[in-house]
Amino acid sequence: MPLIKMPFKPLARKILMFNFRNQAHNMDTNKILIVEDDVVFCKLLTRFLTKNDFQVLDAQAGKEALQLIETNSFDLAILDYRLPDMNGIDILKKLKAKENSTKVILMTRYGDEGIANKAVEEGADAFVSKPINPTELLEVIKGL
Amino acid sequence: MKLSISKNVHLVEPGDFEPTDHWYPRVLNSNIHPLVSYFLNLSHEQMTERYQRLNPKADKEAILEILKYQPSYFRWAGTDLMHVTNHEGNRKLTVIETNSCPSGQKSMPLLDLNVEQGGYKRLIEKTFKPMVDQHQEGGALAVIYDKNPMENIGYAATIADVFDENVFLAKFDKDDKEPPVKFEEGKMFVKNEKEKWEEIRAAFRYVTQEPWTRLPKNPKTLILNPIEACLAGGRNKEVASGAYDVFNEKFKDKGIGIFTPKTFTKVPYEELKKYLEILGGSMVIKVPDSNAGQGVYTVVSEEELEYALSQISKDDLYLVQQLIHSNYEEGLDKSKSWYHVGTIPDFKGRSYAFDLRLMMHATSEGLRPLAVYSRRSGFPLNEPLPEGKNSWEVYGTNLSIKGEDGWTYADERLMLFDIRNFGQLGLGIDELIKGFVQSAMAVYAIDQNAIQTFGKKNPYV
Repeated sequence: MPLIKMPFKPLARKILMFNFRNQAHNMDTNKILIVEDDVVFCKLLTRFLTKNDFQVLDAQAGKEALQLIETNSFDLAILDYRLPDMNGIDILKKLKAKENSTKVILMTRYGDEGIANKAVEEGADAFVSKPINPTELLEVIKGL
Repeated sequence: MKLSISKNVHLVEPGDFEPTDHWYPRVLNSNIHPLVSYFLNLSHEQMTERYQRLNPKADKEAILEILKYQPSYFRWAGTDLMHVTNHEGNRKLTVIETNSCPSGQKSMPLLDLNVEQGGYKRLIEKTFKPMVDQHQEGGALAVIYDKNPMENIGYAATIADVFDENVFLAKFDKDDKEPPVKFEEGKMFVKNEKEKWEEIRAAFRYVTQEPWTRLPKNPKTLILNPIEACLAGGRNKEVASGAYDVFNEKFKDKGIGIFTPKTFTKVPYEELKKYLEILGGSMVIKVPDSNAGQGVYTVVSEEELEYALSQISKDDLYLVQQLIHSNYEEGLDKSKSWYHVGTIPDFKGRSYAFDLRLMMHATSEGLRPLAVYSRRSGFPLNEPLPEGKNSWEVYGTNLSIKGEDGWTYADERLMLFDIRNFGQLGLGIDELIKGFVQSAMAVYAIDQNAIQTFGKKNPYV
């Protein structure tokens, strides 16, 4: 299986997407948690990933996400850094504490790139910068 | 599509339209009823001729003038109607309310199976695009919304396809302290991926909640519908009621009029009890600028009046309407009472109140029907209401579920105009024509009120 560091070629638009783990691993399981306060984002990405054979749950706030983490086991979490009640790294810590094998992709906004190092320290597997192109995100997921 | 280019803004690109994202699942698998398809393709002349056969006193020229009307402000509307009958079995379609920027596409089966974007495309191609093409402003295109993302993503994707350019889809929420939409000297701007303000030349608007001051009057950015349509009655039941009165006075010699339940406007909180007596022990209380079934109270008892009074402000003025009854009862005034015709009884004999949402748009031909569907109530008309149940269960037809995200609704009460459901409503083409003419009259009345209030304008600039 090929080692994937950057899962795709540099894009026409400026986008930051890094896979931090030097692991030869493909997502062969498929339960995903999306945490993002924009409901449209959640629903569109949920539908897109569902069509690509993933099982997706979504939460629009940190508290809601923690409830889902309590009662579910996820293979991957896609977490927005900025949430109304906590940040994505707080959720990342809880996720990793519960189940260290859960992969985590952290999403940040323009100007948030500085948090990447912190995300790596806490165990994030990839970091994507908004705006998110669902097709490109799928490539990142497949590369984890 | 690029998700979250800035907070609450997505960039929709040509090719992003996905039918499964813009229709309820049930609708995707439905087939339009042939009678409904036939109705949607009738010419104005056919509808006028038929309306006059059904209402011999009606003046054909006046009806045609209304159907071919070119609104200055109110070019996209949805009317809620109810099918009612009186003591003598005289059936009518009564106007309950008329909304600017209405929902409805996600509940409408495709009129033409070869046009995958259905009513979304008809509205954008025949109403929005001709306006934008003639509007001389620079900038990008946008859809701004505060509810109903399912339809608004569909509109943004359709605009992207029809214009072959990217479209900003921006949520303009009333509670957002830093919304991604702003106006400067009448020009709209939306936040882009660099957190910079992007100039907008034309916007499709689905912003349905106050404060209306968020949207400027007479904007430089072309907006469908402009705020004037809402202020003139498109989002205010009381102002609309006044506009209907003016219309009915103007056209009384032409044998036509907008039919609504008997309505009292500007009723103070402390007089609501008196109106319950005047109306014989039942009424509907409406908060004038409410929508989506919120702020509407059906009252059939002292207990329900007390409940309604506990929910509304003591300082506001209300609109009070005669209740359309479920069944004839001794003591009701035969000359004034109206009753729900209701759905065809199901195999258990249950008949439900229902409404029709008729969406229409202004095209080069005039006003045209665009989408239509029904919603039925939760509890049957012809069974006694159990102790403790509110009469809203019998009369209320709204499908919204509190906390909705646009994907959650009371599916079991949605009645499509498809082969399976339409027959259950007991409606025919004549009712659809009557409903459309009533709706067109309501749009005409509100647009005329906008012209009276804000001045005549060319809708294309």
